[in-house]
Amino acid sequence: MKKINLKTRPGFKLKLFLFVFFALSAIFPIQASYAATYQGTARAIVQIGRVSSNCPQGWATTGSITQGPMGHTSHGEPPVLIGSGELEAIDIGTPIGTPVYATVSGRVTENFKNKGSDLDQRITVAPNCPGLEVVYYWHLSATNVSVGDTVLFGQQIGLSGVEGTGPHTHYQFNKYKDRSYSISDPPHVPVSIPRYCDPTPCGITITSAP
Amino acid sequence: MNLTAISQFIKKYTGMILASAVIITLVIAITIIYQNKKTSQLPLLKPPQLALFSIKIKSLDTQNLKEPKNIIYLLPTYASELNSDFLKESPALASKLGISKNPIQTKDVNLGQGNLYSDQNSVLSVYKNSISYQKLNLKPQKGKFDKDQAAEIAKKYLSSLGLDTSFLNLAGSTLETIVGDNIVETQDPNQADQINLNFSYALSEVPIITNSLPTNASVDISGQVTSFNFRPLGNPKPLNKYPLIKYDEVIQHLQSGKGSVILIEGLGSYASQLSSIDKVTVYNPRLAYFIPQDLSAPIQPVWVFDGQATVNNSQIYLTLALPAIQEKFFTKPSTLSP
Repeated sequence: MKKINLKTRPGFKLKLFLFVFFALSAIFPIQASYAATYQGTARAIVQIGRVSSNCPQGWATTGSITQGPMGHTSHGEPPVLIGSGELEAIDIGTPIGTPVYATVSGRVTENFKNKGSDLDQRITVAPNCPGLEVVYYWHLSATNVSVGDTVLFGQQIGLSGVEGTGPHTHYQFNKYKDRSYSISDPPHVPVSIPRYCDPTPCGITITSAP
Repeated sequence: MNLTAISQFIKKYTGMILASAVIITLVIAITIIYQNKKTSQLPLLKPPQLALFSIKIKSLDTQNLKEPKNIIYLLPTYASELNSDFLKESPALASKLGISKNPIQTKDVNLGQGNLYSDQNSVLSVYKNSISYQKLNLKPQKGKFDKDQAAEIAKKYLSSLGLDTSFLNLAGSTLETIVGDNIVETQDPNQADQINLNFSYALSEVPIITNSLPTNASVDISGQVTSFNFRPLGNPKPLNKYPLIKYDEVIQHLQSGKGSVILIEGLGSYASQLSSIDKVTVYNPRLAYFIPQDLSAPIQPVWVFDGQATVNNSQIYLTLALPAIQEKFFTKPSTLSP
């Protein structure tokens, strides 16, 4: 049987190039459309179906993201506890009194006022999401849930308030044992958030929640 | 004195001595029985909801503890009688603060009905028994602060809004700096943009401690009040007096892990994320009245300890509290039937 040397066949390099090109282009368009499906709201995530219903998904409230997880204004602040400074938190600038929703089902473990302020009430939810210990909703001007209550995904838990010099809601995952729970990337938030944005380069407006 | 005289003396006074002894014994017995009956008739209380932070303390150093002097082991609980209804006054209050927009009506699980006012410059929330106000878009302006002078400015400002400041005593102050849109505590006087003043007062000459400060205000270098939280206690009315846990017993409770962390300093906004501390050195034991978040519950005396710990090479300061009323006067937690 005659052996055919493929490398010496005419047009082989061209065919190989075309093969690699089409193979790569077959992969990248998928990723592009994959990313595109995250534009918009939590509904996109549900379509993909990669998030456990016990884990956070969607936005806690509407508004504009004013600080990313490692923004220097306040999210770069917590070296004492977090050590690495990687705080899985985002600030959503929103008018006072905007509804805030649970992004995950779980049990309310804290509801308290920061420094006695009715405008900065803070709720902590222990989700049923494996490895994720707590989800925080901070700077609320009113709260609808008490410690011990069970909250469901999508349930309104309060109204946005203020902390510092501007109205916003602080939404955070923390004390995570599994670092895959990133608040700056899908699937636990609908779109990627620049980790260092603070505030102008964030450029993300949220029009529906959760 | 010979034996005959002694014998006559005993015969003469024995009856009287015996009678006196019996009477004294009876009086003591009756007093004890009465006291026991009186305390056994005291209404049962719910244990105070002290724990704000779920922190596990692995070991306690109690070597620096000294028993406080002049402790009164029988103190009343107090009912907070709030006659105010700020909600009715909220339009006038908003107007005085320069907010002309209509409020959003809210209902808070802890605070009840409320009105939420906001515009470009400030935010105001008014509930029946509390008011919170915050100026927005603050700009840093460094300066030296005098806490007493700032406290007078704050009290005068609150009075000008029609709020009763007669009970306010300055309990402490912290310096704050503005970083971006964040306001954080600073120890450096050269970095201070404003001073935050905490006001409190005492009941039965016992100071009040709370994890929900009744009243505080921030004043900037121009003498402008940039924020305040106002939560009056009205005229707390003394209720029944309860016997308190003795010092030695409370130390045992503390060492057996019954203490609750009610305040943490040194961790900024992230105190609630601290889950455990290896070692806390406790000092300054004292009694205090604890103001519960729910003002319909009686105000109770509690034992309080200051604590110091190191977390990730940083010093933090804690306040620990334990119920001071004897455990038998608390309702037992309900048990679920299978």
